[in-house]
Amino acid sequence: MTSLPTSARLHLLGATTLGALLSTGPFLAVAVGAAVGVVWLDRRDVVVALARPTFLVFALLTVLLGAFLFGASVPSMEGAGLGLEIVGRAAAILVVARWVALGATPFEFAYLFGRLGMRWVGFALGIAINALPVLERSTRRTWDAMRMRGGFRRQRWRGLRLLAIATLTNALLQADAQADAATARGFRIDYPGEPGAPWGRRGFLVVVGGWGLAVALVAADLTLG
Amino acid sequence: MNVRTVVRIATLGALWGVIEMTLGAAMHAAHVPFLGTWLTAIGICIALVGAHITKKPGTVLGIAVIAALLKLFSFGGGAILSAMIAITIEGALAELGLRMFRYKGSAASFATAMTLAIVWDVAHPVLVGGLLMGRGVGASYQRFLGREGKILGLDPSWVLAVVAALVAFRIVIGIVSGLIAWSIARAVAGRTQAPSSPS
Repeated sequence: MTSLPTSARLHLLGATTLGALLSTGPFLAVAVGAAVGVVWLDRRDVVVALARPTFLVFALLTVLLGAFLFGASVPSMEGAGLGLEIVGRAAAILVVARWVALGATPFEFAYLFGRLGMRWVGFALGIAINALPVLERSTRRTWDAMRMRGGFRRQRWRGLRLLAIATLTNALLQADAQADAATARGFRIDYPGEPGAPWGRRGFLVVVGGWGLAVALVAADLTLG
Repeated sequence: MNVRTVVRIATLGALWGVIEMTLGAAMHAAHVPFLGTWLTAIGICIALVGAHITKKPGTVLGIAVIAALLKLFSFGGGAILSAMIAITIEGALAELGLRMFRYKGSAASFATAMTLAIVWDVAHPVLVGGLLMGRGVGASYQRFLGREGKILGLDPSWVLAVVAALVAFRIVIGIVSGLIAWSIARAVAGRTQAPSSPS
């Protein structure tokens, strides 16, 4: 799955959105399972991220609210089921959206957003997504370094100000290094760029399979559900 | 806009995103009062430093838009949309504040930009929670006033007094944060003044 180009991944995101939003019950479960399964084959860390406390709290609250707000009785299994469906839809779309974002380079983002006339936004978003883990590490390292040297023990405000200056300076120096690298590769904001790699036979089959499954699930839900 | 400016905007937007995801999540779990105000102050401080470094109009809004888009990947559940709208509007207001001073960095321009962004925190629950999310303007604001008035020790039934106190509180925080941001921006500019290549 790693060789799938970004445009093919975007098609799978479209198919996931269709299947997740327009199907219910067991058909929705199949759509969610298929979407999460495809991502699991390529990037397990993206799926594992669903186990974060923020998402788990959201899931729990949604199911509980559903149980108390919907259905004939209070609490109702029917309402809890509706809440679970909302969680399933959110999980499938978020996982595939994250997979698309993490697999694309800033240049691909620039090309894709360029088709909407927002090339620099695409390039900036691509850079930002790739910079997230690096910035998180460097910020944590700066914090640890200052704390271990007793930086926050006395003159706490001065310590926090120095932390902000060090973090921002590191981020800007890193940005300048990346800008130099992009310029060295001949990247220009006004250059329309080139489309990504072709889909290939396997990519084509995966995309057609994804759309086919989504349409089949929605059709089955409308006729049988 | 050149490549260097865009990459700086992207990196500072990502830094704002990192703060929202790490510090923001920790503060949320600890039920820190006026959470939105503190996070706005930190985020806008990052954006104002970026504007001081690039000196290009649109920098603050660009950093806010990138931070808002990164919210999509934070697995935060249903509150994501409201936070994305808040970050974008706060960025636009701070951008407006800087443009009022023709994008010239100064203590006054930073304090104005920061205050405009932070004061939005009072209107956000009405306009976004009430109108866009369909919770109803009255219900959203009553809940907001009840929660925030309780922190300030005011009776939520004194609506005007509570609103005035909340706005005044945010104006003070905005001015102080703007001045802190100005001091940080000057220090960062001094450390990053390297001769830049014409990219």
